[in-house]
Amino acid sequence: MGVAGLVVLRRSSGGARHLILHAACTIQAPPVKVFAIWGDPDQQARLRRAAVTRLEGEAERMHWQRELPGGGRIEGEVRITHSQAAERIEWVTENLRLRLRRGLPARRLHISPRGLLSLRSLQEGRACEVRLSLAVDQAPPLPWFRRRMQMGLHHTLRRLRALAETGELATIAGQPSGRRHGWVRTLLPPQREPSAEPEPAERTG
Amino acid sequence: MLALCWYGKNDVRVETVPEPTLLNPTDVILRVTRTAICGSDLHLLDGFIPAMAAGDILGHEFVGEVVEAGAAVTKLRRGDRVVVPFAIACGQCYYCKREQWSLCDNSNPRPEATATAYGDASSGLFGYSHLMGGYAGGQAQYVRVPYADVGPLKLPDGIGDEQALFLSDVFPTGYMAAENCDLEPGDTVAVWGCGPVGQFAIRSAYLLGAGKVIAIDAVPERLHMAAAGGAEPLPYDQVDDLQAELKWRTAGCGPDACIDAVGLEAQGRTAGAIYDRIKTRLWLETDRADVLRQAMLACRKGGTISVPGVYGGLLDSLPMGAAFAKGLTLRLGQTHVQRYLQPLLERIQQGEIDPTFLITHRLPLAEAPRAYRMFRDKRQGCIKVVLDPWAESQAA
Repeated sequence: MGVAGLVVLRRSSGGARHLILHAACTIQAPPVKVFAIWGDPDQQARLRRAAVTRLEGEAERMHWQRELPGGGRIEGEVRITHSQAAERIEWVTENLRLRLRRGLPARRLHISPRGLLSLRSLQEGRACEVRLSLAVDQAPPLPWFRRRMQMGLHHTLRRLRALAETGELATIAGQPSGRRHGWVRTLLPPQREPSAEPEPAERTG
Repeated sequence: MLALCWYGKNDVRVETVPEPTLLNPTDVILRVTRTAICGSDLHLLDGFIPAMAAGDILGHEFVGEVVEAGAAVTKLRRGDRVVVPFAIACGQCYYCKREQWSLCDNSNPRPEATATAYGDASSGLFGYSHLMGGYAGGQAQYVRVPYADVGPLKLPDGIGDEQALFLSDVFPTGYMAAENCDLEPGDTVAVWGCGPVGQFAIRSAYLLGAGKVIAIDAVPERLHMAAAGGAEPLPYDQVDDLQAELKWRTAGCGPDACIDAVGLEAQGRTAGAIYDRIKTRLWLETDRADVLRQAMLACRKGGTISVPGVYGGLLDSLPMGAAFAKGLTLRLGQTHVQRYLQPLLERIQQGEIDPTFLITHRLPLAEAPRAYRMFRDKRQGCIKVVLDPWAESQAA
């Protein structure tokens, strides 16, 4: 592709109820390293922002679950169906269950999304082109969901690139600010200074 | 700790907030020893930059001392004095490896909105809206610096905080603006806007071989400072026809290069400026581009327009026909500060330039809200304010 970090999103539909999503980017890291990150449950947890565990005794299966706003949860099991070191990895997600809200029972979703991550070596193995595809046999009914899924693919690749290139994800979570919440802030009087203010006293230079 | 927080248009306050902590292994925490207000901070005060959140800590020009370093930091230790580039860079991505630091792929933790608006996201910046990552800024007593092995430059003994402070932004920004002009020895450069970036652009143009620099502004003390740097002042409010005046001063050719050190808040009495004011108020454009229009018309055929002034959105009625017909080159973008830190530090050490010439006011951080307004309104001869985050604490 020639331009690192340029993530190309493209979507094509193979029928009214079928959805295929694509995303691609270039990563300044060897394919072996990117492949290893993708296969590591700890790194998958960071990529998917979900809790990921390898199922005991099953090297090719991982369980993941992600908490949703309002106490909801989505979870499933990823089974790797084909893998070729540093080149491609294919998987299917099974037993998808969704709980919309805390206290409600989880519902089984009768879909089994299939994924493909393919890697192509660039710059004599120092970089690689990464293509990520997701096929869903039942497309979500609302365009909003489809856009969210596209964004999810995009974000996953962006995080994969950051982890492969720097070993960490940039964050501001937990940094200080002057933000206050709710009623505490509304009780504070506005502190805009009047325009006709006294001049500052000190001047140098 | 004390920090200057943004709460809305024309509403910044010094508040007590929690101290920063290490969030990633490559972070360091700095005790800020000096910080400055940048002209681009005024775009935040004036509400021109979207995606600010109430309580955001401002400031992207600062120097400080390392008080804590993450486990993966190898180049810095507790006690090191450093100056920090305003653009945060990971050092490993495609762009960082090509020294295009301000285009870093990985340092903006929230690139989605910027990527949607601009087609792709640039690097994270300190204290400059959530479009640029939402990082807390350095107009505070402490600040967290990510990717600390990549950005900060360790300061040698003999270089004071105030001498190094402007390496964080305005000196490299002015220098890159002049470098982008691809100057030949003896070239004439016109600089619109004699604020801090313009002042450094003037001096940098001479360092890079310009024969003449024409400084365009309406504020007398800024023109005086420009003249002290060797520029020919051109008070644009005292000339009837700026284009004719520039032709006159360049023997009918126009400047070889034009630097727009004003950006999106251009002011003036020209028809273009009035047009911009009306259209921005009607939300029909976001940025006032009058300086850019003037520069495109003034520049000589085959010349270069260099734009260090910040633009954030949509511009209207740019004379692209003139730029095309005259074969102009347009060069712009956030400064790749890391590229210039060491070379410019050496120029300071060798006495070629003393950046402290720019400082007109030194105030405690607690005075920052007033300092912002004084700087914006160009009162009291204000060109550059340096803030001491600890002055009030020491007095207390």
